Amino acid sequence: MTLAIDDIAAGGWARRSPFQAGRTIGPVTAARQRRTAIVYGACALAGLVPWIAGGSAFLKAAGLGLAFPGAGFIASAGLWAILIVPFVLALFALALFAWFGSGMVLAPFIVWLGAALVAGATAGGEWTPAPYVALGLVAAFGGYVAFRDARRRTAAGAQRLARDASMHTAVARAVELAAPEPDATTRELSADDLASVRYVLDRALQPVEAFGGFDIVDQFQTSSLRYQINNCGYLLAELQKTYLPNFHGYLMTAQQNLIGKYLQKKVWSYWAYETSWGHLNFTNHDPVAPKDNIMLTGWLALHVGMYMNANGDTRYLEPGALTFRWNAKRAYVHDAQDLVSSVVANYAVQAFCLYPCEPNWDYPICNHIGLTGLTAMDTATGTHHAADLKDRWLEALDTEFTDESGSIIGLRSTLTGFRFPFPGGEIGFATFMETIEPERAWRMWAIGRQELTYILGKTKGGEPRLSLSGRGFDFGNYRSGFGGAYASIMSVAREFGDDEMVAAAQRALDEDCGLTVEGGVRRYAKMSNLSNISAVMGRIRRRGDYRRTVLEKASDAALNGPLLTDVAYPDVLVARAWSNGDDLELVLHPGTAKRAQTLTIARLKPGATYVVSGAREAIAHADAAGRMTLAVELDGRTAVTLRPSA
Amino acid sequence: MACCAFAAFIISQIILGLDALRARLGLRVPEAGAPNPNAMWRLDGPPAAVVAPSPLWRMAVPVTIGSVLVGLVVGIVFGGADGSGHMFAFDFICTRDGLVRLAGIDR
Repeated sequence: MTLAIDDIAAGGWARRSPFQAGRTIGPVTAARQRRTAIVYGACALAGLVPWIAGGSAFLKAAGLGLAFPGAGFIASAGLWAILIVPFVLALFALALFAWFGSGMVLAPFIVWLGAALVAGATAGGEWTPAPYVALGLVAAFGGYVAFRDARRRTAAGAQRLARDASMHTAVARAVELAAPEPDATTRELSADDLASVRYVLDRALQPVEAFGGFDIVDQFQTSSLRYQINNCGYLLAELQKTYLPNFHGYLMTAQQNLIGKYLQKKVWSYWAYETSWGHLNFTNHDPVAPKDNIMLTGWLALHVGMYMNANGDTRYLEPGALTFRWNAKRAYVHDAQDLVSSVVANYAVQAFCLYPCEPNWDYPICNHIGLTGLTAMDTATGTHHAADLKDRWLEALDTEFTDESGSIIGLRSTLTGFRFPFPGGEIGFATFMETIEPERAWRMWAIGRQELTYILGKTKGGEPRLSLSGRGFDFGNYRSGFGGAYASIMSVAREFGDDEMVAAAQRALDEDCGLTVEGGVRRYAKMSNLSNISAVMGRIRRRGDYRRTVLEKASDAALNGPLLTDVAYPDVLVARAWSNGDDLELVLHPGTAKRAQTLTIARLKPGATYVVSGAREAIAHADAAGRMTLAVELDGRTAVTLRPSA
Repeated sequence: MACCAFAAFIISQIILGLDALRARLGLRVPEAGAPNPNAMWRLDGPPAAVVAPSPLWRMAVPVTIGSVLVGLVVGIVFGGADGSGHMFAFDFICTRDGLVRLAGIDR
């Protein structure tokens, strides 16, 4: 991709932001917020009717309970209200957490309405000033929220103007720092890269039903197995596409095992719970859902799409190739096309266009992955769903999910229309945006990098490293630590070719996160599995690797040229496997003490003679099926080449 | 960044709060920055030790079941496939030909 600074910067920051059109929220968001306000206002007013018209103590307390969770106890519980109201509010916060965490939309309603009913049922008398106190508290809270919101909007508006003003400088700096795109014909993993890749291969090559080395905490949130599996899959597909296009063998087995793991019930059964308590859907627990669940369909579509683009294997397009089995009697029989159908159908009918993971919770980051998943599948199958959707999708992103600073918001409740605070930033979205609208992605990276300059510190020896303050947080196991943040920044910096940021992140990882090399495997002991996978990605990726794996099919030489197939893991580690269509260039490293190895090569010209270097044979003949075996003695970095005899 | 990060952030706050409470009660608290045994796992390494789930996650099972039961009751009372609400969408399945109305769940 050619980088033209003026063209990239000319797009401006948040060009289509609703802020510039004189509106701060989009039409669907506004309608949902209006609806929420009307429903709330109507309920609160209805709750006051018993106080105005004269009603029983039950109706007065229960009615007042509609003003806010626990408010009914102000009327019914006397001085105990000082304890009970905060308790109910704490319970309501927990219910909101359940709603956040697992889409349990009923939980807050049950707590709110239940508290109102209990307040009514326990009301012996009434305290006349109660409505004034309750409404006063509501007004105070509303005023506080409005004040905070106004202050935030003002600051965000100023930030947008500052970003616009510095856009050209930021883009110029990002482009100046960008390393050239790597030469596809010479790519090779180093010995340290191979030790890092082994971390992922170890997990992927165990039996499908085994989950050794995976963090198992919960299956709803960011530590879920599905994200660990998907990220392993994205990494191995990029690895094959960029470094090892002419190696199948255990690299294919590893990728297929990962998709097999994803189909295990323990990985996807969370959806049965979420659709039950979030949609009140007690009959159809199909995870390839007709409504919501982009965290499965979008992520898995990207996983399968990248796999297909890396090697051309179309097995997951076959009917039933992705069968989610619930029990002996029930199975949800799908294939990769069904994942696409689910995402496309949801984008077509959902009011916000971008649609939820858990019922009600709309995360733009998962929608970036969802649209990228469609893009990868379009590349693999020749369809054009993503291109058809792009304008409407971007319009929705700009109008409904962009704040006054021009940043994409973290999440929005589709039910109420309100946004919720979320730790995120431009950098988190930039990689995915690169396959949707590249110039915008570069603007996001340029601004994000500029705003992150403050974390570029120095070691005692004066070398650059990332430095973050506080305890940090690892999304992969909910423990403290900055490893996940360092690794994520490194992965994105790699995609945009920023070697300065990469080196600083790598140094921070190595110094802070428990770097351990044992048994030939490189890993960070203080990090979650998810963050370790991200660190491997950050290590091996080079500029544009993710974009190419999503947007470009495997080359003709990768699809038809000679291929390294059967080779033992971890005895033989493959650092390079490349072909120009007729030849095969391999670089191998020993993974164990067993140095004498046999390689099986396939897709040769049947019966043809090949000149070999780096193996025991100098001349070898392909059999009638186009296969041959070669004996090699691995001694550190071992190059093996095969060329057709003239 | 993986999705649902805000909820994960809230989980972290709850876990950190519980850790503080456990420390106050003199119970063992995972050390900050302690090695993650899962990250140290190797395919050709020794078998992984079975780690029992913490009491917090054992509690999650009855809480989840209880919540589902409450959901079931409320769903039965207030739910209903009237074609206008959430239930409507789940009369369909996603196929390569687009959405197809369900004839039955078992395929």
